[in-house]
Amino acid sequence: MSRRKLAAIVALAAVAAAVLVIVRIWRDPAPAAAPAPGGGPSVLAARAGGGAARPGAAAGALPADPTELVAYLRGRFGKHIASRYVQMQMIEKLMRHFQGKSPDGWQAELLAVVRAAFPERYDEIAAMLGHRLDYEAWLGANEGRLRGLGERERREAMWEARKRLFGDAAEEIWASERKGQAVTDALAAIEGLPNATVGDRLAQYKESLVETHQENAETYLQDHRQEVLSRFLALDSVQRELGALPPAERSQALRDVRKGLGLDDAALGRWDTLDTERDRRWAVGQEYMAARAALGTRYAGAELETHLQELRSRYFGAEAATIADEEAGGFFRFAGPRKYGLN
Amino acid sequence: MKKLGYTLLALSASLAIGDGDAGAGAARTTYPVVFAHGMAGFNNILGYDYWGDDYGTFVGDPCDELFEVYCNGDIDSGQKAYVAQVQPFQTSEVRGLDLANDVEGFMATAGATRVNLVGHSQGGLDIRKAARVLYERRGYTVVSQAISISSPHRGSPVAKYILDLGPGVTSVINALASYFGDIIYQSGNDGVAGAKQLVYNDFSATDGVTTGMRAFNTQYPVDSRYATRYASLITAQDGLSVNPALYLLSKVFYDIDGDGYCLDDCDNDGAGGRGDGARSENDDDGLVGVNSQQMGYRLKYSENAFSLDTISTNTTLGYASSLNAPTSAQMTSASDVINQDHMDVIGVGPDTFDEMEFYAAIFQYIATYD
Repeated sequence: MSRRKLAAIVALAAVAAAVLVIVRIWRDPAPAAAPAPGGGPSVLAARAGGGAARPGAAAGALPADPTELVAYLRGRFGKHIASRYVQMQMIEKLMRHFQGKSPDGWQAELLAVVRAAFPERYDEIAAMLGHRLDYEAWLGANEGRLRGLGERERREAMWEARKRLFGDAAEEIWASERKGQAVTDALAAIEGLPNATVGDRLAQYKESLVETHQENAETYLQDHRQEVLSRFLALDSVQRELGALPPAERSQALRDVRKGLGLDDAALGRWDTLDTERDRRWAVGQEYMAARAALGTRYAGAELETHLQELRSRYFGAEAATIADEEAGGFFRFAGPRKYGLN
Repeated sequence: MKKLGYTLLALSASLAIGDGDAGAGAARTTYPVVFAHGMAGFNNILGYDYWGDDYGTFVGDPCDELFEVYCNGDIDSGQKAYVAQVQPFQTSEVRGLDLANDVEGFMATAGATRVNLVGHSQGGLDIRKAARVLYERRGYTVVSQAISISSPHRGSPVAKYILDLGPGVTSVINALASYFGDIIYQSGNDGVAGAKQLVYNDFSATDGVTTGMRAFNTQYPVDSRYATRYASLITAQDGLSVNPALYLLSKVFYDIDGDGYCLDDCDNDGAGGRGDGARSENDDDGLVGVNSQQMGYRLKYSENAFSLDTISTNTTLGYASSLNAPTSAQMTSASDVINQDHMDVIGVGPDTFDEMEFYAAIFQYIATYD
């Protein structure tokens, strides 16, 4: 028998033995959490446990039918496996699976399947698993301290830990959080601009969106136009200026904001209709509040309530009962602030 | 030798099946999905940290760009979704109206005629009010599917516990509400009003107002005029897997006994139903008991390791159409209770809960019925 043939046979025997071991583990897994009483699904979640994995850690037995599992991982994650965010998604999926199946030996099994699926990325992904576990341990150890910090200080402390543990990969893994935070920070800065018009604020907002999302800014806006629009209009500074404008100019200013954020003519038309309807609602609401106050000076108790019921029906029709319920709970919707473009 | 074995295995796997996209994801819903957050809300003003994975990627973001990775690959590339924003600390009367207004705006921008609403925690109460307001304003059923997650439809004992501690504690709640809410949101937070909302009965007979879930459920019921279909996902967890803050709450302050049955709040703990005498079990998610959470159909979440997770309807327990008088089984059954705490199902990490797949399964479920 040639040396090459011998090596091949030994290799195949080793694979077969490994598969047999795996089949045994698969068929007789470590006890999982008990099914929920009443025939519900088995307990699903398990937070990470155990020590941190390290690059080059011994890879344990593969699960049963590893070919299927490896194919699944390649199909689901292979196209973007170079992304550290995608690597993290895969790691957490595998953690969840293997921690439930083998609470004591999950890391070795996880690493074995990673090695089989992405051998060229094995060291990188194994290191990522280690960082992920270290980060979780750090969060657990610092949970009380973090809760005691202000929002900004907490954020800084978490980023310091992420950078220390994950290095440059932290920015890639938490890229979405960074972008969301950038928009939040931009809005806070825009809110604080002295002597700026709505147009000035909008220009800076659009600039910050492009800066944050760069070549994907248009797609981002397309998917999130309403979030982007409503968060801008919610700024006190924007509301102050809109509130100070005469109705026609306010209407135009709102249209300019919406158009500036990419709404098409059809959407602008729908908004014109809604703005008009909201103006009408508020006008009716103010009249109602005045009439209500007048009734309060003439009646009390059950008699007042009888008159109020009639008043609400006259002013609000189908919504009268809802408004009565709100008032019973102490909420008077027309006593609150008008927020242009929002309510 | 072991290394050689793995190499051969890897080689054979790669020969057998090449790289490519995984199986089909969730179907696109007919109407957009609007997400309604719970009390407090989110730090990131866009809300993607709340309705996202642990890394801030929004669960409703479709992968609609070439080489895009920060998206939910398990949903349809044309899926439409929106993150609503309401007053962080307020009653559901206030927040539900905020939500209705926000939905109206979204509909104008998107050109939608109807929507689906998904609410977490107090957001699950807000969606009921919004559904009614939208129906009354439009004259038709605007909301197709109304789905709550971990929502205290029959109150939370924790809210009453906090309020019962008196002025010192309630002033702290208000301070926190104002501080955290006002940082990034408009003023108008009222933490005490928000807490009173989550107590089953009217909290005070002398404050001149009617508060609590009992009255709210009468005013904003499960009603097919307001939403075509109501359904709920129910969470409970016990032990060290619980979020540390919730674990601390349950071990040091108050551990809910939330899986007993009676009409109304017969044990005066602040929530409908009563306990069964055993607190340290999977009968609450840290903030809400099992007996408070079912609205309409109870949904079953099935996690599948290597295919899309699924959500289906538990038909055995029936439709909880009367929120103040559910059946005994609807209040006490542990069937299809998801073993997660109150915060696991949103983007509070790190945990290994797969938010992307969980919400993809919700999209799929909605697409089946909307």
